[in-house]
Amino acid sequence: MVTVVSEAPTQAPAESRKRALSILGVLAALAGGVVIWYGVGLLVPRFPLAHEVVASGWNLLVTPSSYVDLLATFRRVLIGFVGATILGIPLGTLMGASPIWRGLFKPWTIGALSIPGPVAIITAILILGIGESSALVALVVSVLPYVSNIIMDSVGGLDHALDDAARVFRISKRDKWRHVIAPQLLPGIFAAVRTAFALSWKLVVVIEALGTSRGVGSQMQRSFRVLDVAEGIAWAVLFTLIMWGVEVLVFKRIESHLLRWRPEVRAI
Amino acid sequence: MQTTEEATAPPFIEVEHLTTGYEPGKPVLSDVSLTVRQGEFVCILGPSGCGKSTLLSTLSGLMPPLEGTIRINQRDLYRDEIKKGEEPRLGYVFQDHRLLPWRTVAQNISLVLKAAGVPDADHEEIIRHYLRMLHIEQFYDSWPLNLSGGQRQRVSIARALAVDPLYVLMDEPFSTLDEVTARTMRQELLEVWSESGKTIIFVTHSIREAVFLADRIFGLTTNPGRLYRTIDVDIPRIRDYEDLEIAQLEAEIIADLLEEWGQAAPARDGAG
Amino acid sequence: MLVLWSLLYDYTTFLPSPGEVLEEARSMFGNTDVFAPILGSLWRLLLGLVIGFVAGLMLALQSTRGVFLAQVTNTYVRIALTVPSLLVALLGLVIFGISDWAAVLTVAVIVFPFAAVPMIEGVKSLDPELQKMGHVYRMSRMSVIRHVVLPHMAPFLFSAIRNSHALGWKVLIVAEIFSVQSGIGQQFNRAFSLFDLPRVIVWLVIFLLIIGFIEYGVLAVFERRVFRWRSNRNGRRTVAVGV
Repeated sequence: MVTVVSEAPTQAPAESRKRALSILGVLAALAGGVVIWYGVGLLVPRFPLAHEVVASGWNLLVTPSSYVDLLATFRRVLIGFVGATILGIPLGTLMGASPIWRGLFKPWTIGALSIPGPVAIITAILILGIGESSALVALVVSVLPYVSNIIMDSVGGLDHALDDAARVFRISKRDKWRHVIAPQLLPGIFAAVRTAFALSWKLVVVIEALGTSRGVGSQMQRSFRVLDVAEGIAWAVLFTLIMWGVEVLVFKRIESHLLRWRPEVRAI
Repeated sequence: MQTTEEATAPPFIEVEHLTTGYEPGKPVLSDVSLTVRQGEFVCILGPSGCGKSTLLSTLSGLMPPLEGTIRINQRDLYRDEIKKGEEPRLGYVFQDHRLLPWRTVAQNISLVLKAAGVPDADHEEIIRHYLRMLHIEQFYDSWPLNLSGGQRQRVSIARALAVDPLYVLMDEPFSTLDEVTARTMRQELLEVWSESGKTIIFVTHSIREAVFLADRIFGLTTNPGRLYRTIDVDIPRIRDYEDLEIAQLEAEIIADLLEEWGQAAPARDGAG
Repeated sequence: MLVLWSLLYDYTTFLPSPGEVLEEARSMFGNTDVFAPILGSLWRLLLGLVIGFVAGLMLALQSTRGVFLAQVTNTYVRIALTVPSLLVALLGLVIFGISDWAAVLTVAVIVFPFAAVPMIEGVKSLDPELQKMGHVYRMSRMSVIRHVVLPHMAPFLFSAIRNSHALGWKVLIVAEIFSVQSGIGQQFNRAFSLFDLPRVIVWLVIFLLIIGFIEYGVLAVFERRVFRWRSNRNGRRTVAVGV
């Protein structure tokens, strides 16, 4: 039970007015977006109008083969971000804990960080040939440095004041790790995982467009190639919505739980 | 200045010719000798940087002295063979609370109880007892960051006491609190002290605080870091912070200190 | 350290040896015009960044005028933050056809939230006390902006520039490959279709060198000059997340 320390006088009317305004703001922004969309659609020759995209999207949803592509992409996202996390966490820890390793790997992480998605897949294909493995390698290599950087900063930012308290009260090494150090690293690990996921699904689309035959990205590419813009946009929107869904349902929930001890839990 | 009385009880904590510091050639404190009797409340008084915290670190068994010995109950803290698990239990209250913000109050205290070898089944009762003593039992399941500064320090004190320590070390625990809260805390600390009978070593830079709280005051000074005076505070308990006697003693200590500083800086005219 | 490592690269089985790559580079520099695509890309990037920043600044200023506008701004920022850059690039292609504007605006759109967010933070944390001080001393509005607002915003601006510079390059390459037929991106694409791995590597190195030069050469020097009055606090670089 969280006990409130001091009671500030509740400002009920101001609060709800604020909320109303903010919801209004979001709606207005979206409405504005739709208006702009129609405007552009009317002006630009091949640009589809909103309802055309919706129709296309519906069409995709009822076509069974779409799900093959969606699943293929999702599989790659999963392998990519898990792979980047599994490799990135140890690397980040190593780099955070020891300046020697940091110096050794720093140029590589910076380099990998700067390589654009398409270049990564191009290089991977030319080295490994066309296939699933090159796509996955490109994905992992691109995402990994982000993970390792976050972990590295996390390890470097440990609070040593709490270490003193642990020493004075003679807390065992195991307990110290479990109660003092790990909880400090946890937000970093979580941030790294969430970032890796967000990055993976955006990157996978580009990688697929260039390097694979099935998957959301390649379908998008194909649609645009045959000038069926509505379908291309539909693919993108569909995929984006699904991924947003995952981010909200999975990651936000975990985040609130992990951070429930913070005085103000502000979901970003 | 009162003279030191003859001690009637055997010394509990003995410090002999202690020299401590972080580097062998550069001691922070030199040749400090003092004794503390069981159940006493003593204050270590001194300006910033004079090595008060270093002294505490050495007393806590975590920083071996460069020279000299520390004995607790006749046993040398550093040189005698102390088996694992038999290390002296002590409580420590830091200037900043040093509670784990991601654990509840109860969990924080439970953690140190476990380290002190107290079986899990007994934890709840002990924790509640000490929280009650500090008037914060209602915060048993609270998150530390949801509490005020004063309340967090109470938790910190409860934690220090809960392990049933041989002695308690406090490093300027009230210096970050506002004056009103600090006054309340000092009062309550004395109540807790008389209720529990613990030996307390309290570091502060506030002369009045030291006079209000302590049975004896050890005055430290810098350049070089050393113990320049031991002061007995004979003012009877219960003391009032605004007591005239306290103010008098405070003035005496200040005059004494200025004289001391006059000696340390030969260019200046020493206070008469 | 980097050099040492790359010399160990003697996997001649599926990677070209350093020698091959150097050869390729030499012939490239001899035969084709290397600088035109580079300049083209640089120009597009600059334009895109400027537009993105201006948009970000404008939105940041709007966001301070009440909850309603703040939420409108917030929504646009969020959307721009999470939309995949490929989509934007392809849309740009559809709207503008094969032209520079497609790439430029793609960069602008994707970069703009990374400029807007720090600037919103900067504007939010502007100390009203300093502005009052300016008022008391009857400083002209221009003066206030120059001496109070701008220096306060400077670190935020710099972090925004740092973050978006690297990101902008990556987005530009994506845009150039898909929607424009010139610039560094196109060079990658061409080398790809020719299955010319050494060529890809050469362009990759050139690309990394350019980014490195700008980051550690131009930006760092500029930053040091602007932040002379600060004790060295700005150490960590945060990297923008995006494609």
